[in-house]
Amino acid sequence: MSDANKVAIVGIGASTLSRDGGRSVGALALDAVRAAIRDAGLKREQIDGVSGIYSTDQPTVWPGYVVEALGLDNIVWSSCSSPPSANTVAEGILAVAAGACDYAVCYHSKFRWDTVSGAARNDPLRKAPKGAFDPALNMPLVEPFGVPNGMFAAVRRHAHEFGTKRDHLGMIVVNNRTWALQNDAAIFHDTPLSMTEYLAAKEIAPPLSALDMDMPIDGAMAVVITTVERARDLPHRPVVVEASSNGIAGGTDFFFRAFDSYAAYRVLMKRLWDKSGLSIEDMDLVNIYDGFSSLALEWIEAVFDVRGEAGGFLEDSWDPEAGKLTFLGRIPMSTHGGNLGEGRVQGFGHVLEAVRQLRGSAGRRQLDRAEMALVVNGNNPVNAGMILRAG
Amino acid sequence: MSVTWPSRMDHDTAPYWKGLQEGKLVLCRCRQCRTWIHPPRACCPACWADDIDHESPSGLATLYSCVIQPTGPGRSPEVIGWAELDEQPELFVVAPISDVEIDAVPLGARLLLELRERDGVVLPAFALMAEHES
Repeated sequence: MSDANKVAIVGIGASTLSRDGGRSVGALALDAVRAAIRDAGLKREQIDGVSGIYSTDQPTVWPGYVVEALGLDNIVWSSCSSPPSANTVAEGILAVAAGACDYAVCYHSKFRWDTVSGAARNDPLRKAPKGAFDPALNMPLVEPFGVPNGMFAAVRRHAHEFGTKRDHLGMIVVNNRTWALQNDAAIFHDTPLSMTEYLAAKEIAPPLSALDMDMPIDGAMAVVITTVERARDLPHRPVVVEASSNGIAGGTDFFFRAFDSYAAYRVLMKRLWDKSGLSIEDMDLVNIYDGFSSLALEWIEAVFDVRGEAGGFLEDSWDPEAGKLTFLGRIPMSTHGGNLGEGRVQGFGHVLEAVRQLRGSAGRRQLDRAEMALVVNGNNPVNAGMILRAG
Repeated sequence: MSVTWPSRMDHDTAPYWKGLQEGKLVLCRCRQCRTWIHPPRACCPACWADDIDHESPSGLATLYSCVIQPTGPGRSPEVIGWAELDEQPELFVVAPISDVEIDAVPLGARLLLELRERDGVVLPAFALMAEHES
């Protein structure tokens, strides 16, 4: 398929990322959406599609809010999807590819609701909208036991079965935190983390510590998508979508059977490779979802086809002096710092960073060679991924 | 204790809760292909039959994984286990593991179901089986 029939990311935008930016979840979304539309060199009248993350464990704003608040008067396509963020980007890609709209803006806005932490609970401006979120209808069965987290049980099982150690998770965390030092927008842009410090952190949900969880922030991000043909008239070098996919598999219920997320990740990866005709060897960058370090661990197994061998694979890729991972001798991971270093916008930063690197606009962290990037987002049972190429 | 479980019940989960009320653990099981199903579903994930029965498993299980769950300020955390029932691979019941040291939880240990009252409601729990029992 020639580029003429493909779609591209042509605009990116973000709000500030902070622990308390003094702006509401709605304002943050509007910041990101406006920035992305401006970056694409478009006028609001030209935007005719909008999609956002809404049906989430932590509520945000639906597309109607953005449309109303920004006076986007020509919307002919809109959609809501569940996190991770790449889901809403994938929807925009599909809508433009199908001709449902010409210019789609896709966003997500994250916020530290009062349910996130004790500090947030004391802030009267952070009360989450009412209403339980239980899309798999299972929560009452585990509520009497405090809703134990399936992901935590999964990483414990992984360690038991495959000998995964805390050091391995540490390599992922330190890699992302080290890269974040080269990203001025990152929440941890000025806070280095060494492996020694990582290993000294208290295990809260063994083997995970607070450092293994992405940093809750207030922050929103957005992209604008159109066809490659239309992209030629816009200011930036287009970033072409080579393949986009979601991946879900049966038997991966979050509360009861989170042990086989890998099965869902493999479904997604197989589709990306099959559809694009590319392989991991073709990638110059992998931005891997890190809501928890343990999720990145299993994504790495799926991306590099090393199930059960992530520990040794990470050891082979680890440079203790630099505090960074380099896969297959040349592929870096999450050069923006990931969710762990840049902050939790549930994987949207992974998409924006791929676009920056492929445009050649990543500043002091720009890679020498950045022609092709892989982005994967999510944990079971909602995932999304894409292969992006410099156009 | 003002807390009462469940916080919500639906057509699929009602038999589970009714069973506990009567002092037994009942799980969904497909009448057609005999697959055990948990959490409760109205349709068999293996053969898609709608013909769902409810049966009590033997109560024998193996500890597949666990988490150390905080229980509130000033109270000690407890071990919540994913008990893989003997009836079928990856058939998990999530429940507290009684009388186990949180620093030394033995994954792979043999477990026995015991129903325990909690907040005035009977709920599943598992005990480590003594060596000679397993």
